[in-house]
Amino acid sequence: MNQEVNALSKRVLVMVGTKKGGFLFESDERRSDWQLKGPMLDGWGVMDMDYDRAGRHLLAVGYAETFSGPVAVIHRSADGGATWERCKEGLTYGEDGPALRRVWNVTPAHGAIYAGVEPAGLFRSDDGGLTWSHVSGLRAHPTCPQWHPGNGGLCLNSIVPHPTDPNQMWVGISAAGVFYTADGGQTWEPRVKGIRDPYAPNPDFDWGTCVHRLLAAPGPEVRLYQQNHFGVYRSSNGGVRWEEITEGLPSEFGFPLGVHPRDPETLWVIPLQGEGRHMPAGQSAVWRSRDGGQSWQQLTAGLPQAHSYLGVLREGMAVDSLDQAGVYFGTNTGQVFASFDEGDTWDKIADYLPSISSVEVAVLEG
Amino acid sequence: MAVARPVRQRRLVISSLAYDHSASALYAAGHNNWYGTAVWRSPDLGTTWDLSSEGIRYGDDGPGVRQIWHLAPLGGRLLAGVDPAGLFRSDDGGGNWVEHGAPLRSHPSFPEWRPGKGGLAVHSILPHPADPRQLWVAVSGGGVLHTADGGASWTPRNPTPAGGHSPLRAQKLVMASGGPDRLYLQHHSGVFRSDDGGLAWVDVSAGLPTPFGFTVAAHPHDPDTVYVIPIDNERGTRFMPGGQAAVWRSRSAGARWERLSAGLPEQAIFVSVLRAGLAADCLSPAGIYFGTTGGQLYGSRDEGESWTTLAAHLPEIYSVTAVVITE
Repeated sequence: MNQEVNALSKRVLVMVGTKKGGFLFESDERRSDWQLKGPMLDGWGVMDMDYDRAGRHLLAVGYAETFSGPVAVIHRSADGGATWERCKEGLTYGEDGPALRRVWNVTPAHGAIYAGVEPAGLFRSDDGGLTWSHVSGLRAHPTCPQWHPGNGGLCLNSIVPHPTDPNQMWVGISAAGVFYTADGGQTWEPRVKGIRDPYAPNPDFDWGTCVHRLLAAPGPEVRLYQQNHFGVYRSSNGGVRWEEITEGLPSEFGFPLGVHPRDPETLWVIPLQGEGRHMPAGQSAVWRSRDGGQSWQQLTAGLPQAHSYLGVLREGMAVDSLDQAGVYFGTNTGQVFASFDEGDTWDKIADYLPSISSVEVAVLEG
Repeated sequence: MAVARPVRQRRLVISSLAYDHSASALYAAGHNNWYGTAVWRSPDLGTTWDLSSEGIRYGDDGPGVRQIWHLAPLGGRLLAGVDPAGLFRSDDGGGNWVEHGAPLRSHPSFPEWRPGKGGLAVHSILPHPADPRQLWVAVSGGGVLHTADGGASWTPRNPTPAGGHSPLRAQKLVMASGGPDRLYLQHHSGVFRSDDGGLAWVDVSAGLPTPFGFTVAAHPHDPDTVYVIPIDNERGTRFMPGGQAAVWRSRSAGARWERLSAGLPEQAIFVSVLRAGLAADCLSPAGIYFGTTGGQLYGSRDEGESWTTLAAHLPEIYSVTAVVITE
């Protein structure tokens, strides 16, 4: 009995960022009954949310829509989303730099919080997200003046901390590629060898490519996975060399990516038909690999299979850390689907939300 | 299929569809970074499409045409309302286009026009049912304009919203059955009715949960019956009021309104319906249809009394058009 009480003392918090604010879904560990909170921050575009365990803050990043275009915005909440505080200080490239248009990603790591912005760059906060400083080494890279945007803008969309070493980090920039630092962000090097880009002017390119999403698998030996505009890739040496693992998928194009919390061989992708940016053939499917991308399995049980043209954006998938990992994805038409058996079967846990930009999940104790 | 494979794949937005009974042709207007703004024509209800548009542009000195907002067949011709404000015409089934009449952007009132979030879009084109020289258009941020001389000259015909709000923020204009005198206008600041082709307007928003909305549809046979979908505009979020899906209908030309929601989702919804997202067919009883920004398509076969979900997982819906084709 005690054991059961303990088992149910965990709370699962799914954070959904949309074009019109943020939503929270909370459940106990059974994940069968979801309580909806929101919209919060309505009127703001929320590109990503996360929970900072160190500071116990909810973080929501994105943009404000103004007549002169979007303006980058970061908010944090200390009371579970009831009230929000806007954190502006330091979130700028300075008077001579370009204006910040959007914040695409927020990632707590090693006691700090990182934010990836558009035009592409990295910011860091050491006070729980209240004030920010520019990690200027990245834009000091000699290739920076030549970085060009992908279709969604020149965005730093992925931040991958090293599991143990706070000085190491990878970031993904659309469409400047993957960059790596080993000295806490002072210097960076591109890591794109092995990535295809059929339209690269120089076939021997050593930076660039349109990385849509970059994640690290769990484990002491860093394994990276990447969904690119042109294919899915794996790297076992921190991105020094990439191997393509697209074979077996119905499309090389896609945005989101999910990795298993404990098994580095298990990952999920959602291939999208490129021109329409929706799942192929009017049928919804998530694809899973159990062998590091060598083979893929189509997962459709519980997902709409007729006349469904769902799209999922790059932050739109998340995986929780419970024993049977829960996998979640949100669509750009406002549905949230979830699987509590690692993708074998799916349920729609929310519908009729605004267009979803991001899904994150945190398992909280007590 | 005359569509070239794009060098880089780009999401193609289809903004308006129209069916021309005289030519048995379906037209689709769309845009993306590769095609720019374009019109496609299908002779077989969408099985095959031909790219068929030359000339929907303002020339080297003018602005780029961002989007076609409304395709309207007109007696064998085709009209296209675009953003930034302009009206184009094709006399050959969509192949070649010229600007129709005097350019709207040279209208004397143009300096006062103010683009909204949706730009400066010619989103409503209303031909006169009998007189081919007469036409009404509505422009977001530019208001309602009428021509009696085939587009050579245009006269503004705007309401005067209460509270000093801009008269120019027209969201969607429709003509009642039996027109052309009776028009209904969903305006940024209310729903309005005119009984004289837009010379005088009366605000008929009383009884609606909010005066704001994007869309309006007229009943195909009864000029007193009109449908709107009110949208909250208080905090800039633009959901249906209270998160509750509903269409509102008046059987009395706007004097009284009733809320219609049977069969629509009962849970909270956070979606919207855009300007071209509501349509009526011409059957009896009339079928009413609307599509949401969340990709749900709803239909009623009893004039709005009850609704069924026709599709649940489409992409964001920009426009819904209903036609009845006799085989």
